[in-house]
Amino acid sequence: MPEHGQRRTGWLVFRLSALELWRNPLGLVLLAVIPAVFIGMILWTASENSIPLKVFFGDETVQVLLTQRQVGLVFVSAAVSGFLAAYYALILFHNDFGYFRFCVFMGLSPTLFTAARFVAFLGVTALLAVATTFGLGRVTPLEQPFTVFAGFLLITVIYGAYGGIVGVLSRSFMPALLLIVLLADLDAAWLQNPVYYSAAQQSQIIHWLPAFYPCQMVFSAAFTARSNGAALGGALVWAVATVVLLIVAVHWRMRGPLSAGGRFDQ
Amino acid sequence: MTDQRNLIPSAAERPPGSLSAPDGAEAGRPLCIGAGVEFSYGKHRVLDGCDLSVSPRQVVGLTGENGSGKSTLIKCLLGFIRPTAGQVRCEPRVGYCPQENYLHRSYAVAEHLELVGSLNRGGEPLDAAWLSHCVATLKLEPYLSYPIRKLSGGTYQKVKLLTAIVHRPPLLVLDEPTDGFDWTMYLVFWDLIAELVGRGTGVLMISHLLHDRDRFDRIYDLHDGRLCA
Repeated sequence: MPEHGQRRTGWLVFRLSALELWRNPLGLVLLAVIPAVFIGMILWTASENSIPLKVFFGDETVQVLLTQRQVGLVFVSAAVSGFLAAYYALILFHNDFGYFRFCVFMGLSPTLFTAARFVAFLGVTALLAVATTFGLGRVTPLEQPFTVFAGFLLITVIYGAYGGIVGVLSRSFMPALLLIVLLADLDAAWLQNPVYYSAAQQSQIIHWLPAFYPCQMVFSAAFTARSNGAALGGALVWAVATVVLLIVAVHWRMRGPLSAGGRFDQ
Repeated sequence: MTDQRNLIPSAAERPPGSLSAPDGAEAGRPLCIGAGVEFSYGKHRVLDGCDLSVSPRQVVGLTGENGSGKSTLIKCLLGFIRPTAGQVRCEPRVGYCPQENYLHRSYAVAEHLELVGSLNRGGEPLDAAWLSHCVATLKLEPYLSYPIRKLSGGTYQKVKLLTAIVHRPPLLVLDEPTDGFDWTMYLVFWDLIAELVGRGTGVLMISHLLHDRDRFDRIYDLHDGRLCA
C-alpha cells in the first residue's frame, strides 16, 4: 500500500497526464475530425445492398448477410478507434519522456509513474470504446451492445499499447506516428475489412494480426446473438501481451537516467 | 547509478591517503568526489584521469572550452554514465540543473513545481516558505500559470534553477545555470547561491565563462581531458 505522499504524487501524475491529453490540440482535432469524416463518408456513400460475410467463431465460420452500410460502419469504427487509441498512447508514452526521467532522478518512483500513466491510458481507451459503441449504436442497431463495447475496448487497448510501445522505443515523434498509421492502415483499415477477409485466399495470416480477434468479436456481437469465446480469448491474449510489452518498455526507459546517458531532452 | 556512488568507501572506511580530496575537503566530508575519472566516446578520450571534489559550503567552478567534456564529467559524477576508469561518489540528495531543456511543455509552471515539490530524493520535505521565497526572488510569480512552452529563454532557465534548489539539497550541480539571465538576474542568482552555501550546500557549477572568479572557492579548468585546479 503506497504511503500518503506517494498516493498524492501518483494522483498528481495521473491528473497531469489527463491534462496533457486535454491540452493536445492535434489530438482534439483528430478526435473530432477522423470519426466525422470516416463515418460521414460511409453514411454518404454506402448502399443498403446485402453482402454475405464470414464471421470467425473459432472452430466454425458463420456466414451472415449484412448491408454494405452496416459492414462499413462497424469496420471503420474499429479502425478509427484503434488509430485514435494508438495516437493518444503515443502522446502519453513518448512526448516529454525525458522530463519524467528527470522526475525519476528527483525521486519519482518508476512504478508509480507507470501505474499512474496506465490509469490515464486505460481511461482514454475506455472513453474511446464507450464513445465508439454509443456512436455506432445511434446509426445501426447492435445485437449485443455490451459485448460490442468490450470488443472496442480490446481494440483500443491492443492498439493503444502498440502505439505506446512504438512511442517508448522511438526517439522522434513523426516516425512513431508513421509506424502507427502503417499498422492501423494495413491491419484494422484493410486486412480486417470483412469483405476482404471473407474472400481472402490466405486468411491465416490475417488471423495473426492484432486487430483480428477484437474485430471478429465486435462483428459477431453487433450482428448475431451468439457468444464468441474464441474471439474473446484471442483478443484477451493480444491485449495482455501488448500491455505487458508496454509495461516492460516503459520500465526499460524509466529505469533511471542511465537509460539515456543522462540526457533529459529525449 | 547507485553502483557507482558506492564504488568509493566512506571516509571512515578508506585506507589513509586513498581518494583524499584536494584542498578544501577539510571544510567537511566531501559531498562529491571523483578520482582518476576517465571516459571515452569510442576512441575519443574525453576525460583522462580527472580528480575533483566538492565539500559543504564550497562553490566549485568547472570551466573549459566547448566540447571539452565538462558536462560528461558531471554526468559521470552523478552516475548518469559509467566512467571507463576511476571512481566517483556523490551525495544522493543532489539538486541538478542540466544544460538541456527538459521541462514538460504542456504543464504550467505551478503544475511543474507542484510535481517536483511532491518528489523528495531523500532530502528535506518541501518547505513552502523557502519555495515562496525562491519564487519571489526569481520574480516568477507572474509566470506561475503560464504554460512552460510559452516561457522566454531566461524565465525557462529560472524555472530549471528553481527545480534544482526547491528541496535545498546538500549538493547542487549546475550546468550553465545563468544562460539567458540578464545582469540583474545574474546577481540575484548569486544571492540565492550565497544563501544556500550559508546553509551548508556545496555547489559545483559548470560555465565556460566565469566572470566573477572571486565568488568561487576553487575553479577547475578542463583541458585535453585533464583537470587543472
